[in-house]
Amino acid sequence: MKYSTNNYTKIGFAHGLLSYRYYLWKEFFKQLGFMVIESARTTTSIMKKGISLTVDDTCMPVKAFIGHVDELLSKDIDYLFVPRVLTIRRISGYYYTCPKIIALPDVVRAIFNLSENTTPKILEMEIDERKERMESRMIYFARKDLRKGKRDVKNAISVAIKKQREYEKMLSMKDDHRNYNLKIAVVGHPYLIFDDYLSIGLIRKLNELDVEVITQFIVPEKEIEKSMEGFFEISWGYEREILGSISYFTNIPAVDGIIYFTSFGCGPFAVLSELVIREIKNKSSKPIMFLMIDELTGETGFITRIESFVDMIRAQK
Amino acid sequence: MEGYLGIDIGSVSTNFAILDKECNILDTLYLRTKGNPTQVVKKGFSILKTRLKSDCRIKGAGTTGSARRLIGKLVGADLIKNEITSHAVAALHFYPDTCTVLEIGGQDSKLIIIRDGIVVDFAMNTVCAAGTGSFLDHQAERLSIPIEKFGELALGAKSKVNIASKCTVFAESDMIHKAQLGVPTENIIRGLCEGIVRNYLNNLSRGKRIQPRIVFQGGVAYNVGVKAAFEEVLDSEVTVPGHAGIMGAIGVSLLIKDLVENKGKGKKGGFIGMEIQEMEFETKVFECKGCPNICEIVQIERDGKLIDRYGYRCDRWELLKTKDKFNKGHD
Amino acid sequence: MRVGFPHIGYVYVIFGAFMRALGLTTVIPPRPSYNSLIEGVKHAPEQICVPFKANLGCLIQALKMGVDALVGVHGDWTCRFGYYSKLHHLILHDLGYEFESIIIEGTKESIKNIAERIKEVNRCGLTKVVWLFLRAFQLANKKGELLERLQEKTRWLRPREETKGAAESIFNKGIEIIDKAESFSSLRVAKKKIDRMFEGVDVKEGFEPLKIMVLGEVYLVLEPLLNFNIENKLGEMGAEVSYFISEHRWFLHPFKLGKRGRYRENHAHKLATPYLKYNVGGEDKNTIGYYLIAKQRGYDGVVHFKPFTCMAEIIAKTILYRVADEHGLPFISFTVDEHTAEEGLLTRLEAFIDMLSEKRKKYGGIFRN
Repeated sequence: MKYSTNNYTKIGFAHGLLSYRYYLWKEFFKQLGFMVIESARTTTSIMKKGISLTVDDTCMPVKAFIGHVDELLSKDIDYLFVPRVLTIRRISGYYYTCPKIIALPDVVRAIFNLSENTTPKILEMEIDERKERMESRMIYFARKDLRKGKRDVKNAISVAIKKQREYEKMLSMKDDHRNYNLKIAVVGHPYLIFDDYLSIGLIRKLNELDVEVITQFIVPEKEIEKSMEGFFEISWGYEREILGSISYFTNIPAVDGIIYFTSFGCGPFAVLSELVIREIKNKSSKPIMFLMIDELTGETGFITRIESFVDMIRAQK
Repeated sequence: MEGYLGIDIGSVSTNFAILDKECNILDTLYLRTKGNPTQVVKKGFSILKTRLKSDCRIKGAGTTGSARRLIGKLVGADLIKNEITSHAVAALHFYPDTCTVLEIGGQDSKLIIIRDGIVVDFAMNTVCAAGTGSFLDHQAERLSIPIEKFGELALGAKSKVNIASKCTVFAESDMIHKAQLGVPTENIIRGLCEGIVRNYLNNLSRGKRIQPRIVFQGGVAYNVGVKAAFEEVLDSEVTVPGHAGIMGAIGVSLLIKDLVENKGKGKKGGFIGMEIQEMEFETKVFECKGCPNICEIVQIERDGKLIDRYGYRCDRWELLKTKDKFNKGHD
Repeated sequence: MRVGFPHIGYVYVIFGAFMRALGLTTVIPPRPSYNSLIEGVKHAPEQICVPFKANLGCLIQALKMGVDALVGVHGDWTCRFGYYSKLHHLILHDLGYEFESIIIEGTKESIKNIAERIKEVNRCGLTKVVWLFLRAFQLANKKGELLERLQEKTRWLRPREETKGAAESIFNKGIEIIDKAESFSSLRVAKKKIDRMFEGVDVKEGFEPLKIMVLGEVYLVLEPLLNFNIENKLGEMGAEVSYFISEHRWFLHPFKLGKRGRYRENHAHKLATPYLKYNVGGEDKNTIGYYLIAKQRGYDGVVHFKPFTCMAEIIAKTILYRVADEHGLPFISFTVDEHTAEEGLLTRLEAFIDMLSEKRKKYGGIFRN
């Protein structure tokens, strides 16, 4: 038997990177009868630990992820869940994720000196949607690697998928129904936007400024892919989503401004920024701001930037 | 009597050390570089000359530090050595059981790992001045506390306060902020010392095993606050040698002594002596347009006579070919 | 048609010949310099890696010399290198330069397209194009072989030369000779010439230099401007340098040819797999694989180059720390961008060499941390 099937087997879930996108992973393991230990929300001490363990110019979300893993390792877990997502499926084809996500299990192993014989073991689920859909891969993983019964797995996956749908619906909906007088689209990786610490509470702060925030998750995938036609082929899946939705939002009159939210050291951003600048320059006069954060970004300067952007839009309106 | 001269020309300070045959320190001198290495070396030589006994003969000189190459050529040093090796050699001379050397200088910091008397690993941070001597200097000035008292004040602090020290700019604004909150100055200084240590270890100690004995040198080593912070974080005793600030110079004079004793005169050609006050030194920098490489050639002249050139990639500017036809094309 | 392409080390010697044999006129811009790099930095996105900036500067220089078309490659990889050419051409078009952009992709249409263009330029049929291509490839391959021979001999000679600068001057002459040889017969003559040049040099007898392997991102490894001419510097310090890649192997790489190169690459990838499962762009698997090869072959140390914010090499460096911990071969890593100062790099490099020679003196070449 490869992995223990003990009901009290504890699996550590780091709260970072793709876990902001795929809620179903956590739910799936819960349904299979594992005890899921989640790391707490990102804090200064987690971030500090992450910074001290990684190479200097690693991007901030990966640093945070490493910090979360470090926290989990002190929690007496049996397994550590680190997915390896190579490609994702979009309606127009299969696309890569970012190199740092593809190599994530290798990086975690290297940093924490983990191997086959150390505890916790790394639960490495490899997802390559060119070969197999994520759901069926998960079923296979549970049956073969975790030795779970057919019925259990079937049940677990259906619950997980349902939860994932609910999660996605939640992301694409407005959370409260206040009437705001301004609408700004915040576009970027979910592991930055929805992490309150990393984003220095961006959404909260915009709401306080009487601004309604929408993200790229409200845009249907079809529209995004349609907007991508004006650019040359981009084969980073999540970057397609970002670029396509920025391009989409520029043509929506109801959106007053766009914030492209990113972190220092995000590789694809360098390529995307050039394309976005050209898109805006050629096609519309929509206000757009590249909001970049790094470990040194202070709250004061950050608020100043947001406030002046909002003031600028209000003045134009 | 014979003496061996070591010069460590850093960006902030320039240190001189003269050792005799038995490795006793005959004389040391500490001067501020003030952005002009040639001038400070001239000044240093004139001071040393008056202090040296008349029967003392300098048998060899070596240079280290960031301006080692320039000064080395100017004074005809027998050995031009990098700071890392020099510091390691000096630490090993005083404490043969050294396993780790922590060095914080004026503009950069180094971590050297030693096992069984040889360097096995090192790291050097040159990117940012955060946590280096000049940063501390600046803060001391801003708080109008003499830098010598800085460390003692830190030890007197009753409680801790966190100072962001990843970057000088942020550290300063954070300090101002904390002072405005009414935090006592001692606590801020202690926070600063701890921040420097944290920053140093974050930057340099990745993947390195710091084992005792730990020797802490460089100008900042005189600061007892930083020493105490290192001891607390590393959880072991930290040794600060008596000549902590001039260990680089001592290291290179030890090396030059070995070189002269083993091989006679050094390979790089003879030291020109202490009488350099009257000499004119000039450095010319120009672009060679001879080929698309467009090398930036640095040319050093002593009393109008060319003594060295570097920066070129082809043999066109080799020192041997000092014919005038090459010198014309560069203005 | 006058075509231009960016420099990558001495690849122009091989690739230029390849293009010329296809009936095109090549415009070779001056070798990258600090000025051309700064020109590139001015127009490139701030956060992109430094090879992109250097290449952009190079292309601007080529455009100033007058070209009809720029040639580049595009690939759907995870690495930003795949997008270089399209982004370059976009930026250059916006700057007001007029040129045709020829992008070579792995797809069938792209290859067909290029065949059509060559047919047009040479006014010939498809059979001739195939013939031209095969000949061009042969010639470029032979040139590459000779270039590699010259480089390997120079690297051997550098630390051993009696008169300083002998190897460097032979190398500069040799490059010129190879670049000028445009036919198979003149290449044979060039080979003899180069061999003769090496014969007359005095070498230090019985001197065993330190052996250093240079690893990292391919552009930094091959381009003397950005690696601060490391080969020369290490040579002066008395160390023999090996590169994990050469211009020749880099040229052959996309054709999936070249037995020696391919074997070594596969071997390196196999060694790296336990530490890094997939090659995620750049040279990260090679970096780890060749580190292990260097260890097996008894090298004294490894120098690693990484462009600032390079995604693949960040991963490689992270993993290299662990691999080095297990295998004990010393390595030093340099992160390079347009702000990197030569002085700091040199100090660290000197100390590294001092450290390695001390180690060798004490342990006779075999040691562990």
